[in-house]
Amino acid sequence: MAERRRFPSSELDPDLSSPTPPKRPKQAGDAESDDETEQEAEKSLETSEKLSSPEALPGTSSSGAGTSRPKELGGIKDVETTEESEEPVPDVGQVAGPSKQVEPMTSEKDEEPGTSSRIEVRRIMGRESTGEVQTSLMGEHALYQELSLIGNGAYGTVYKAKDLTSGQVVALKKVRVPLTEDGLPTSTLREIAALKQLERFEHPHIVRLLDVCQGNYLQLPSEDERSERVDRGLILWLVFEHVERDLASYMSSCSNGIPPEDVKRMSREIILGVDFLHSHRILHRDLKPQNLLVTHEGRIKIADFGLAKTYDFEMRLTSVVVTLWYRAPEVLLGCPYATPVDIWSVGCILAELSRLSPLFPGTSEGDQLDRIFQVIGTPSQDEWPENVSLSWTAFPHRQARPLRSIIPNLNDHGLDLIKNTLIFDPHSRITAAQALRHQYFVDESS
Amino acid sequence: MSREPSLLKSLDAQESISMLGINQERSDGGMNPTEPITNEALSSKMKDVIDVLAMQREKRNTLQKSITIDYTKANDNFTVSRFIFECGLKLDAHPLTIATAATLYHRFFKEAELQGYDCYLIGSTCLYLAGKVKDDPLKIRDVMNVSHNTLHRGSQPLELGDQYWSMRDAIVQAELLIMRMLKFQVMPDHPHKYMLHYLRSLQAWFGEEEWSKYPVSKTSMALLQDFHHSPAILDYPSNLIAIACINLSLQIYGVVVPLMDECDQQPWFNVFCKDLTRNKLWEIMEKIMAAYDDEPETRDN
Repeated sequence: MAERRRFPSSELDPDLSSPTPPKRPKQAGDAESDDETEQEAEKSLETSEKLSSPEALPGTSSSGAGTSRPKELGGIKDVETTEESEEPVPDVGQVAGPSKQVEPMTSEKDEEPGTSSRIEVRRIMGRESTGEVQTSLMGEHALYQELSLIGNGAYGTVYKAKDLTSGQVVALKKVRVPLTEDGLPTSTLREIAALKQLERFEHPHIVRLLDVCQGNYLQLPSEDERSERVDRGLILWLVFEHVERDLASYMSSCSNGIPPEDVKRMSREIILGVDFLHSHRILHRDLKPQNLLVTHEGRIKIADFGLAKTYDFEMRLTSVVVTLWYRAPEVLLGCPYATPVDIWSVGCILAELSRLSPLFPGTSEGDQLDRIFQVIGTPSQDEWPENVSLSWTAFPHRQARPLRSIIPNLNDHGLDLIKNTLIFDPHSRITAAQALRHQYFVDESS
Repeated sequence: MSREPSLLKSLDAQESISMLGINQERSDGGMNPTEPITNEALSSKMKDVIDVLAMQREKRNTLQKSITIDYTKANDNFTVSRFIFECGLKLDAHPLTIATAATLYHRFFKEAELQGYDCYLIGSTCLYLAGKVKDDPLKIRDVMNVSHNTLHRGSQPLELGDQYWSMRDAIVQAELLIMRMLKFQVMPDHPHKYMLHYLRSLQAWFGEEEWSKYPVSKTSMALLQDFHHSPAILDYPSNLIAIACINLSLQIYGVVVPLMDECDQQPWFNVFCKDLTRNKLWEIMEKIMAAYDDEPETRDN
């Protein structure tokens, strides 16, 4: 392992350090490459790749590799340098890394996969294009222009940006993923591929994932001296449609209450979205008003789903506290969980739509559970799961309170639906599909 | 799903076509009443038949032993797909993983020019990536060693040196490249699941006894798996490909779906796909058969 040679791109890829080169720079290296090939590939990719620059890809073809580069990254680059300066990375231009580094195996076929020739190639590339690089740092070719910072949540930083080709305002979500010797982690790869797969359905109550772009490589603070590569990461940019408001700010703007028919329609749309996710075997795990977007027409769109494991890595790098208010008891108790956790959260949100204040605003896991029991009553000792750290005896015995006293302005059917979502035993909880057939939604009068 | 090399099985299927023809000829001869059947005549007729069968068997046996493709000599779609299949089988990958790898490969080169990349690197990486996509983990080192050994027959496993790490780096980087090229859409909608559903329905329609007479399921699956050698698999919707494989398999064995005949107004497949025309179906079936044209086993000389 000691003799293993690493190729920190910082050292070898000066040619890539610019995010915004002029399109197709003419230079010695390119002369040898097959121009037709490149144009072809360029054309085919133009629609698909944005931040990650299609132009960089065809560079693999020959010694011209890597001289073309991600011009579009310009918009992001500003973000990088301002927001991420703590990352000790010469990374911005390395988006083009993959295409270039495919090179070595080209020679492998000729039984010459030797690193030496590879270094040679790279060094030449670097030398040739150094001058080029420095001239092209401007962002005029960027495909997305940053407008503002939306938030810095537990799940990474989100920017509001403009797609310069379509003019559409988008939300750029920056996700850091670990990059090991084995490449992208399987969980990340599967999650993102699954999200792309879901896009085919264009569900009306799910936020659109417009594009996925590969961003910069980064060095992560080393946890283990021995395995240097484990500490590498990669930024992925997820481009979502931008929706101005979330349900939390919508509710706070409705101090006079939301009309019952709107409450019912929004409740239904939330459950429709959740049912869609569940039928595609996706758990949201963190449904809350901040993750439910409200369009200008008042339509609900669910955001922030399907990346639980990808976010997991991101969350280890941040110390943002995640709200407990919508957590199901089995999650608070550390038990195995499944789709019913989302139903619990839906119940809390439905109640909040009528109350305009959170149902269980707990301050700690224990307090959260106690607040829950104050409403649904403490479960019997038989119902308490086995092998959990919090024992049943740790909680004072509470009697269930009628929901009518807590949510006075909701009709009986609505209360019954919420009651069925807030059942301690996850197996007894109503499912999304059942909820959609509930009398509350069948009944025309609100 | 069977893990046997599907190409070999489909070879059997192809032979069945000719065997059916031969049987036909023989029974025609036997039923002709004007020509008295002497033992001699029969045996001379039979002699040809037996010879053909024996020849085919012999040809197959020698071919199976002798054909090992030298992948360094070609990089056409068929050969690299065959490489993916060979490596996939050696790695004991699930058939769906191999099908995914081949699909990813064809999609990649639909976007990119073949001469721009080392297609065997892309092929190996597709296999590795497919393992992740299908949650059928293939170790990167295994993929590297198997690919390297298949490419350079008889070579030793890679030592942990510069060459090893360069190649490993190359695969990791190529994986990201493929992801980007394919817009992160790396979960294919396989024809397999449609096929399973259709075969189950047909099985129930035929009845267990009739269905078990012909290996329609196995042949359909082999045809489907082999079709992944051709980029044409990208050109048709998954459900239609599944139907075409089943229909071709039914034709191979001369099986007619019960209560339907060839000229039926509504053929069996219209139950599963209303708009599918016979012409379209034949077009796909011809593409499936054309996938075998590049197969060295079936080439003459």
